[in-house]
Amino acid sequence: MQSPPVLRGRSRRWRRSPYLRTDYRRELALFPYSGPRLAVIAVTVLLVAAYPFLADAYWLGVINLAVIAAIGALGLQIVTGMAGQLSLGHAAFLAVGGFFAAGLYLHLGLPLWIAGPAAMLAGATVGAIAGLPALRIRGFYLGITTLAVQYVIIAIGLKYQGYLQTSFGTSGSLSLPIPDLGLFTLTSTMDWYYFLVVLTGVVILAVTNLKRSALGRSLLAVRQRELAAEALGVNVARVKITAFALSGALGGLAGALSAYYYRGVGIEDFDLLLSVEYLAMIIVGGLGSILGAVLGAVFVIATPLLVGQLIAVLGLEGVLSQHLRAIELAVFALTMIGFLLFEPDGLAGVWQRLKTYVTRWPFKYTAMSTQAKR
Amino acid sequence: MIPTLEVDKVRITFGGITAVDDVSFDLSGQELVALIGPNGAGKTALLNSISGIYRPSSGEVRLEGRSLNGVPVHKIATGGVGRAFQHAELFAGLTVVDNLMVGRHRQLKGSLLSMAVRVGPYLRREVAQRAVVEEVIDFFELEQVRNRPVSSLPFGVQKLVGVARALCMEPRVLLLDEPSSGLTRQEKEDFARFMLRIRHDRGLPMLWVEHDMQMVMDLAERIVVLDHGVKIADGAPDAVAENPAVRTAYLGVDDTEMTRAGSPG
Ligand SMILES: Nc1ncnc2c1ncn2[C@@H]1O[C@H](COP(=O)(O)OP(=O)(O)OP(=O)(O)O)[C@@H](O)[C@H]1O
Ligand SMILES: [Mg+2]
Repeated sequence: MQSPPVLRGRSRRWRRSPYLRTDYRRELALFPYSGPRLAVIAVTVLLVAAYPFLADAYWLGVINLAVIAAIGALGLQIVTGMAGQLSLGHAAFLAVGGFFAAGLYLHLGLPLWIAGPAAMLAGATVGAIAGLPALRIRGFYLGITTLAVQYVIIAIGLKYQGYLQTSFGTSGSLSLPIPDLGLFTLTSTMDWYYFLVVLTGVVILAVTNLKRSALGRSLLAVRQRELAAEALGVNVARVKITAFALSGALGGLAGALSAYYYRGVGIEDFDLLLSVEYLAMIIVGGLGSILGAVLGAVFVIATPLLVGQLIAVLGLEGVLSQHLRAIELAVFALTMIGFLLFEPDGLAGVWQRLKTYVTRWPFKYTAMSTQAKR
Repeated sequence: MIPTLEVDKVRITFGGITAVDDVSFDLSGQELVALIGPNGAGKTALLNSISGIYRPSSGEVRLEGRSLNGVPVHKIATGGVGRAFQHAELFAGLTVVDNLMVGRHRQLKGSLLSMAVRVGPYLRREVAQRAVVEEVIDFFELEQVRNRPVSSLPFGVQKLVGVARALCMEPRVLLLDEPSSGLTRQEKEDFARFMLRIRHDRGLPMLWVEHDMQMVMDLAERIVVLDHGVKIADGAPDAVAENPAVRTAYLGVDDTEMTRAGSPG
């Protein structure tokens, strides 16, 4: 029997019902056709593209920093959020990336477009090594060993800076030029913005694809039930090392980018607090969620600055200026506790609920989600 | 002919306790072998030693003639030992489909780059394996829940997903650890039907740990009985039911009513 005409012919492709899927390729599509979804994507793209014209230079800079942090946070999300391996030393990978990029420039004159991938490779290597203890220990103890890795990296960084001081007579921290990407240079904040947004878009897409591939499923499987995963043929050791390597690679990339963004890098910037801030990003954003890592990065970077601006707007600078850092930290700590207590799914969970509310409206029931979160 | 699975004088000890004591038996063809015994008899420990999760302190397990001693757990799994766990052990947070896709892990090899870009051969592989998983979903009548996170499913369905996941591995031998415990009578009957269909469609030997003696008597072709880690009987259901040692192990329960010794575990 012939199939009905609707099912045949490429020309009708765009007029088919969005709900009628005739093969698994369509079922597995990242952006299955849906009016509201397309609208959300279009609005997002438009807003992102128009942002530099809507915000002033200060807030453009803030978003640049947040977007760089988002790349690093995605790295931590892979290892801690998805694979469930606690990493307390994420700043180590950023340090490795930053110093690798700066060192490659200082010693070999290599530009960012070579130093970036090289920093990722270096980060991945350090990540894989930092992940080795995960084969034997887990949880809190693993966290402590990753913290130890960070202190080792800091010690090496200090030695390296000391060496530079004595043999090059530099000021200790390394400086970098305006980045040269081969085809163009990143001169203004706006150049940076568009470059970073596109790069982060690519990273998000890559991580999203990884998450819905065999590797992503085994990451989540290892986080949930390591033994069952192993008994299903997942090489758990390899998965853990891969997760740490990916985390190191993205951390390294973020480190290299921020080194170039600040036009310099110093080991003092990579303290324990930075690692904690990255952990905060994925917790506030929602553990395991890609959207969450991005939202969390924006939140953690922007909130203290927002508090600072608020104080300035209220004219309280005179009174509070000495306590500014303390206030920022207090706001940071309170939001962390708030999320841990009241919204374990983080900002991504809030978004999911908002979406459910809108799509179900005017019905109010919050049925058990029939679709898994993407 | 070499049996598919040989358990050869396997002994498992934990500190001073001997959980499994010199147990030997083998499985071949499309046998459905029930492994029974009171709580704590060492049934799960024995399955774990076949999966490689516990290492026998002496003796060995052979799969199609090859020793599994020292083989890593994941290699034993990809080598053909499919396992469904006593407590389902599903990956909470993943959907039914994704849980089953983990069972197809072996067929979804690819470089990081190919997975990140997701075009070409890797995408084709993913689509092809998805189709295989859908067949298993059909087989177990899980269509209604395929996109539900497994943690939102009732326990009975979770157990079924656990068996389906093991079958997705296309194993040479299937180890089922109390697949029907916690199921209602109705669900158990459905499950019995699935077991017979697995055997009919796949023709693979199954080692089936079960407490429900009625099901065992109805379905099993052979019964292996463990008590305190020792194999006390091995044979056809009728012969085993007549065995005095077995009756003593299931103390105070006569063979017509040998339904359950101990509480559901
Ligand atoms: N990891 C372990 N460490 C120490 N002892 C263990 C371990 N695993 C099992 N045992 C012991 O081995 C014995 C057999 O346990 P096992 O879980 O194999 O019993 P079972 O026959 O599966 O019982 P059930 O019907 O309750 O599932 C028990 O005495 C148990 O306490
Ligand atoms: Mg058991």
